[in-house]
Amino acid sequence: MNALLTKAGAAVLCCCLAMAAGAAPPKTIEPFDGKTWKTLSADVKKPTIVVFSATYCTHCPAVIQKIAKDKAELGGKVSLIGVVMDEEPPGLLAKPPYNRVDRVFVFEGHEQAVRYTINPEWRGITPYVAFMAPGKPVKFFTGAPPARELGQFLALAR
Amino acid sequence: MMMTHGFQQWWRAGLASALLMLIPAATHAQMSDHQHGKSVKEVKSRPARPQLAISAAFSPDGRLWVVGVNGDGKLYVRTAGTANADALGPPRIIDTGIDMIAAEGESRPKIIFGPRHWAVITYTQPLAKPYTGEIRMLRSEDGGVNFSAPFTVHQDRQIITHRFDSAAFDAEGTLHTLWIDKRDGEALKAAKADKGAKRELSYRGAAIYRNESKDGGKTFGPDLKLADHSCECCRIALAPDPAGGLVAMWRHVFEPNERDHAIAKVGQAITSQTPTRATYDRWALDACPHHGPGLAPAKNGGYHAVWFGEKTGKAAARYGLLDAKGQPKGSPVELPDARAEHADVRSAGSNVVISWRSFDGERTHWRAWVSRDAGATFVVKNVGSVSGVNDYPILLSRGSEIFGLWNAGERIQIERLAD
Repeated sequence: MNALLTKAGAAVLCCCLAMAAGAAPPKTIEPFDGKTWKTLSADVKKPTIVVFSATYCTHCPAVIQKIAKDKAELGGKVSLIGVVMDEEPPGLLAKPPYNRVDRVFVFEGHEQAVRYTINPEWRGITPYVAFMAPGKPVKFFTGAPPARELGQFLALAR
Repeated sequence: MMMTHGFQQWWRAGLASALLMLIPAATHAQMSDHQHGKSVKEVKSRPARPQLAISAAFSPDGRLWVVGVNGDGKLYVRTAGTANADALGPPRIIDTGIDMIAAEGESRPKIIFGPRHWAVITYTQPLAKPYTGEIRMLRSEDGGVNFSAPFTVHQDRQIITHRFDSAAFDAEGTLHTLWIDKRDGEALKAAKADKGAKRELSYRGAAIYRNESKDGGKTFGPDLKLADHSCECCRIALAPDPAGGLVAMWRHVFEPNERDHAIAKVGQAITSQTPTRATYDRWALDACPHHGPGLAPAKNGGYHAVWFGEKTGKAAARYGLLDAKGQPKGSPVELPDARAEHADVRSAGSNVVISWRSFDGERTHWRAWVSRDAGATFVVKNVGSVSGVNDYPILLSRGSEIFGLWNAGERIQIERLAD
C-alpha cells in the first residue's frame, strides 16, 4: 500500500513539474509529409529542436528525454518536436517520451521522399536531430547531439 | 483524422488481446506455445501504412516463391513456374492466426526450402511493448502445399527483443535460425536495478542468438548465443561456407561504440573473444542505422560483402572481399552511386551481382553491379525506377543464374541479372 501511495505521489509530482515547466503533452498527432519540413523551417519563431525517430530505434527515447529535461528548465522558450518516421505506435501521445514534447508528427506517404525534403544527406539513421533557430541555418546531428552543441543551442533561449 | 486512426489501433490491439485469450490452449502442439508463458502477450497493432517488404526463393523444383504481407496484414505466397513477374499466380493467404507480421525495412517474412520437401516461413511478430518481438515460423512437409500454424522458434519467452530473424538450411539439411536478442542486456539491466549492485553495469547493443532444427522445424535445440554486442536494429546476413555450413555477418558494436560488422561461422563454439571483425569503417555511433549487410561466397575462397557505413565522415554503401576467416582482403570500395542504400549481394560461380536502390529526390532507382569474373571487374546496370513507395531490391539465385526482385509498390519487377 505504501509503495502504491509512493508511486501515485511520484506520478502526481511529475505531472505538476511538467505543468509548471509548460510541458503540456500534445493532443494530436500531425501528419509529416513532403511539405511539412518546408513549412516548419520557414516558420521558426524560437529555438526549436526536432528529433526524428522510428519505432525500432532503441536509442531514440533517451535522446528525446534528455532534450525534454533540458528544455523544461527553460520553460516555454524552446520548442521540442518529435517525428516518428516509420509508423504510428498505439498510444503514442500518452507514452514517454512523446508526452514530453510540444508537437508530435508521424511520416505520411513516401518515406524516402519525405526524408529527402528534410536533408538529402540523411540516410534514415535515427535518432536524427535538427536544431532550428530564427535567422540561423539548420544544424543536423546523427544520434544524440553532443552535450556542448546542445548547451550552446539552448543558451540561445536563455 | 489521426486521432480516429489512433483509436482504431487501440481498438484493434484490444481486440487482438481478447482473441488471444479465447484461443483454445491445445489447438495445435506448436500453437500452444503462447500459453507456456505466464501471461498472454499483447501483440502490436497493425501498422498504419502498407508493408512492402517481401522475400523470394526458388523451390527445389525451380519454381519462384514470393512471400509478403497484404494490405490487411495477412501473410501470402505467390508462385511462378518461371522467374517472370507476369507469371506470378494470385496471392494464396497463409493462415497465421492473429499474428502481426513485420514486413517493412530490415524486417520481412522469408520463405526457405530444405530437403525432404521441407519449407519454412519465418517472420518477426512485434509485440505491443516497444522493441519487443518473437520469431515465428510456419513449416511445411509437402514443399509448401500446406503450412502448419505459426509457432515461436526460441525457448526464451520473455517479452523482450527477439527480432530481425534470418534462417537457412545447411548442406546436411539442418535448419539454422538466427535472431537479435536482448536477454543479456535485460538481465544486466535487472541486476543494475537491484539495489545490491555496487558497480555500473551496461551492455553494448544486443546479442545474436540461434538454434538448430534437424527435422525441418518440427523440433528445435536450445537457444544458443553466437555473439554478444550486435547492433539492435539491422538484419543478419547468411551465406553458405565451403564445408557445407553457414556463415553469418551482422552489424556489431565494437568497443566503445563502433558500429562495424562482425562475421562468424554458425555453430562455432561461443567464446569470450570478440568475433572476427569484417569491416573497419570505425563508425562511432549511438543510433540505429537500420541497414544490415549482405554476404555471398566467393569463387576463389572467402566472401563478397556489402554494407553501409560512415568512414572518415563519408556515408556510403561499400563492397569488400573477405578471406575465409572473414577478415578484410584488400581495401573496400564504394558502390558507384553516392546515394546507394540497402545493398544485397549474390554469387554463382564467377558471377557476382550487387544490387541496391537509390533515391534522387524524384525517383527511386534500382541499380546493379554485375561481375562475370568473380568480382575482378563490375559493370553498372540500371534495372528500374519508380516514383512512389518501394521496397529494397533483393537478390536470389537458381543454379548459375542470379535474379533480382523489386517490390516497386504497385508492381513486382523481376530481372535475370546474371547467368
